Amino acid sequence: MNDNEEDVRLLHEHPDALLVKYHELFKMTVMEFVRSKLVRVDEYDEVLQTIYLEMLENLPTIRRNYDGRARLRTYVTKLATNSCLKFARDRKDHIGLEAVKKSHHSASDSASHGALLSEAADLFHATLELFGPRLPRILVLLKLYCKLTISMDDVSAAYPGAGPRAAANLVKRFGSDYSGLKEKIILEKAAPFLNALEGTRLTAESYRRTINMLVREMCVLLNGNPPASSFDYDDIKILVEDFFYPFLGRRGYK
Amino acid sequence: MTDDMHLNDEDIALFADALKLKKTRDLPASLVEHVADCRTCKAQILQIYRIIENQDERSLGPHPFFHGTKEPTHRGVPILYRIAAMLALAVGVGGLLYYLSTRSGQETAQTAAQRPITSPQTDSSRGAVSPDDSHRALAENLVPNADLENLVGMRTRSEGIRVFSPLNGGSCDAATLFRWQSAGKTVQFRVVNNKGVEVFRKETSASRLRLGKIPQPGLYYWMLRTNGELAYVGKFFVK
Repeated sequence: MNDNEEDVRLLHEHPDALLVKYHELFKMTVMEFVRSKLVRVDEYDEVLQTIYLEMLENLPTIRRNYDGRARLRTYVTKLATNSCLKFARDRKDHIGLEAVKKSHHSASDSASHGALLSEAADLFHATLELFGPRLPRILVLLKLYCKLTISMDDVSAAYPGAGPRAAANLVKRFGSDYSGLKEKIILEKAAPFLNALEGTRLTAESYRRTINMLVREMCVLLNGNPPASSFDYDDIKILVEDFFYPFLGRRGYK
Repeated sequence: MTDDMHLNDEDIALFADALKLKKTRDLPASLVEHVADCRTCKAQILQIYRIIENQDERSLGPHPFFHGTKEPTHRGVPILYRIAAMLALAVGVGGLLYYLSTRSGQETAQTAAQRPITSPQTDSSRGAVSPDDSHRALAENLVPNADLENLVGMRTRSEGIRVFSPLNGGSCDAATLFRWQSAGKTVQFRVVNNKGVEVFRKETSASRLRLGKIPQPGLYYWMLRTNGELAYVGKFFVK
């Protein structure tokens, strides 16, 4: 019997033993909410107790709803986060998001900013994975945003059905160093090539807005909501660069 | 899916597991396509991923959805073959080193036999450096510089400098990228050894640099100056 099967057996036969086994997991979950300041440090024990109580109360529902696809421990982690969120929402003195943002120590003031980014690199890779089939196209846009050279492999992955001429034109223009160009010029030159590849008629301004929205979304995802960190657009550029050409000491793009 | 057309709790958990196991390509297409366009679900998945990110997969056994019954592999090569290959390489390298050391020992003996007889004092001044001498020299190159150690990682009054790599105390080679952000200002990039002797210097308005030629093994400190002021001190090892 493997670990997950044992956990499922405990869920049905000895739920109290399962909760004891997951104690560390619950502690880590509450700490995540303390880090993002949705839960105060002095509420740590109360939140932990709430998680236990709600797990025991909702046992029949958990047994009914869990269908064995995810690991039980990950599923229970999600339930624990639900409890933490409910606790934070129900509190009368709910901390506003702006107050949370202002209370955060700015990452840019820290002498160990490189270390923070290095730790965020794995999370950034996971964030990119979430874009699924859109990722190859997003990577081309991110390369334009960060002024990184674009290869034929990049274009083929992003636009598999595109004509070879359209692909070659984009690579010819952006396949060598163009870091000296301003952002506005890059998108003005890239827009016709991207339109040829995508079969669209978007303006450079449209692509600029698309890229900005994308980078903003990545910032929000990376920092969490409410934010547990304060990475900004410049940090996203560093993480993108590291994704393609690892230098932060983490795994790179293959 | 929930009533408001988002992933339910187990779908979120499954996706987080997939990220952890690098198995997102094995997820159902409907799940992947929804998440690709849904900010809410992305945020929830990452929230769970942050919590489980550092848990030890080896102790958890096969995954119920991804099975995980195959032998863990890396790029299709079974791990046992990788271990065997590493052992073979270690034995081969060890054998080669032993062969070379015995050969050089024989040559030294032959050379010594051909040398004219001199006083013991003169003899001791010639010949190959002993292993003890080379170890002593390397040890001296690793002694921290007290003055520079106090400055490592400290940000000085110069604003606008942010350093991203390398991490302090790490090892570097010719390809290591020194990366910083200086808002376009010209910086003086300088590397000194642990005795404070300069080994590299360059003025640049770029925000990155590779040394190219790597110095001798030892401890080094690198510095950035802007407008004549020291902006950053980092340290690295060359092995």
